[in-house]
Amino acid sequence: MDKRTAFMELSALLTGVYGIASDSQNKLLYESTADEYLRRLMGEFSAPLPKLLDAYQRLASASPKPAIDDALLGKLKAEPEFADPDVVSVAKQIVNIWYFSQFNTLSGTMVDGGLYERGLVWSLIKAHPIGYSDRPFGYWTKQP
Amino acid sequence: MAHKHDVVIIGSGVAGALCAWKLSQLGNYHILILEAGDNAITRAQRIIFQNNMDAQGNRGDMFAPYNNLKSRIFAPAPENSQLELEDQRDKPNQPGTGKEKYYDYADITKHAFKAGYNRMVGGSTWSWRGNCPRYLPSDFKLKSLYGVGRDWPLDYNELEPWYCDAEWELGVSGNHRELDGLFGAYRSRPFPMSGIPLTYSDEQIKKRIDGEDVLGTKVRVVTTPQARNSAFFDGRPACEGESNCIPLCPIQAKYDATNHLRRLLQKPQIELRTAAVVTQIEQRAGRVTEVRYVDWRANPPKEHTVRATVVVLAAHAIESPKILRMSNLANSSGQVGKNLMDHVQFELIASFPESLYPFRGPQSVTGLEDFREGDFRKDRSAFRMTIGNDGWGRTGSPASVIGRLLDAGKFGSALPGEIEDQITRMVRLSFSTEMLADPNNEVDLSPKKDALGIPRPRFKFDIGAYVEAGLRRGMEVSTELFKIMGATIPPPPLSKPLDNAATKRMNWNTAAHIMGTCIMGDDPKDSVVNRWGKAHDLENLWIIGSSVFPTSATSNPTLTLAALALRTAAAIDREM
Repeated sequence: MDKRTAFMELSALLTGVYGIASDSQNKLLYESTADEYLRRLMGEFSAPLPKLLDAYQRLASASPKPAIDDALLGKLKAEPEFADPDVVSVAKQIVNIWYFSQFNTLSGTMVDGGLYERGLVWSLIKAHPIGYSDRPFGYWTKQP
Repeated sequence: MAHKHDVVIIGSGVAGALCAWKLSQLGNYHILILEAGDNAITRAQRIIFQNNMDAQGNRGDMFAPYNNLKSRIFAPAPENSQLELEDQRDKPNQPGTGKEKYYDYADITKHAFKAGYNRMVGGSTWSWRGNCPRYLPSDFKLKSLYGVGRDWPLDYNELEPWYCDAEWELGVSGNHRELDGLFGAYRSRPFPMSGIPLTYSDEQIKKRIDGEDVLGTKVRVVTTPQARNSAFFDGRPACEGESNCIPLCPIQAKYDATNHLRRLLQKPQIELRTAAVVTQIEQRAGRVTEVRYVDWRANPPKEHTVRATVVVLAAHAIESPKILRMSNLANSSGQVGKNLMDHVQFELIASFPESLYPFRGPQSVTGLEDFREGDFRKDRSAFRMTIGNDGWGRTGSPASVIGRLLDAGKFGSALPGEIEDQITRMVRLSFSTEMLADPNNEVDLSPKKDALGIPRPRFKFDIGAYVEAGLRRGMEVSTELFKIMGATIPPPPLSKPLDNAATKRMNWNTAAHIMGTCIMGDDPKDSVVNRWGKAHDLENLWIIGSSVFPTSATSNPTLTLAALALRTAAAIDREM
């Protein structure tokens, strides 16, 4: 499994948005987003992120390949790497960056994820990214 | 001898721009506008500003799109002003980086002065919300009606036609029938545009509270008059509901002063000089003669002098009194810099029983005007309430949800549903109280200097018991309103309590509505300008902007200062 695929599957598992790893229609979009987020997170979490990816890949390489679901998530959390608080931190920031295109460094500073408009939160709350309306005057009067 | 301008206006914000515009309509005046900032007013500039704020945490911060401006080094803005007093005092200064703390405090100050402003071409209208309520007739007569604060030297009747003009200049949308006659505030002309339609969220809230009795007051949900287009108007598009009014409307459906500046600059007799920080106004025999400014684009910064028949000070309520104090001007009353006011604001958050889908539409469309007037003003502040359409507003961004869920150990399939449920039910009520003019609340010159060697503003500020009692009432009313809605107020620290045990002060916020400091009155012994905005002490110095307000009332100040700026421009024209 290549690093990108591992990161996308891990992201799907942690965020609960399984489409990140399986949505064939938006595959290219998710891949380019994953590349950018992986690059940014590696810059801050150069040690704990590979540890977490290794732990995931160990689980995912089982045969037959396990489904991405909460059962697999439970197994990941039980891996020894998850006892490391820095690994838990990076797991949280993977969720943060996918939903809000931002993450916190280990020292707690908030950093831009670079792809604000692609945050998963917007479609979830049925709004456009704040500041990027693509809708006409008055759309807000209707229930989305 | 340098060329003599008919009018030199100091400041290119909404007051300066409207005054220049009105003068340019009344005569063929040669007008020079001096502006400390140096940004462009083009569409490209707007896009650059928008690109500066793509990280979540910056939204709602009035400075976020603008803090990369080079002008921040030489014309600093108070970017840290919303912090508590201790945090502002303790924050290390970083001179010359554009990140220095700008405000200084007198030892005896009780509170921080939290209100900020943007020193840039177009002023703070880049980052305002756009709300345009009028003053009520009683707001001009606070002293004679309730024995507190001051009276204005003019009344509602006198300002009413100018309110109408200001509503057309700013492009205010509103529903005439909802507001005509509000506590006696009649409207002689309709709004230029009908009101912004209510959001889905507003409708759900209105269903539950409209007409209800709230602690003895019957409430009515009304559309806030707002300088936000509900149709194509004045060359600008209708609102697209970006939910980004503060800090920047990406499409200029919300009015800002660049609108008038662009129009002005098409006239050859109007000149805008940017990167020009005014340091001194000279006088001779009761007349101002020259204005000195520093051009910070020159290296090293270079001082220039311009001559003027008339000088109009429009640098907002902190820089205007600073310039007067540095020039030792217009202060025979001793009131320059005194009577500093803000709208002391607080907001209460809750989770509505069903999804409201905030962040669709403007940040706020509706409000409650019912608490703005009453006999209680003898004892405590009145307030205006707004119903937010921006989740938990300043109390918590949508992104704050994720931190809490993750800290609770939630990962995986539970997350999307939880995030959707929590964010779509977010609602806030905010209330802005009126402050009384009090000479003890003051801005003067600090011995500490900015990058150009100009004294920084130094504050002595206390919101006072009158406001504190108003805030308490605002909290009670908001709590009751949420109870009627069936909304749940989350426990602290999620919701912020009013009283802060650590600081022994209230946890109030600022509405960033800076007023007072050059107030208007008939008596030269206790006011700075007369009823037309002319300095009592000088023949040809005029002051515009909210610095001349003798009462803060509960209205967002821009419409009133716009009306006064137009009126002052007409008075200047009469005397030319």
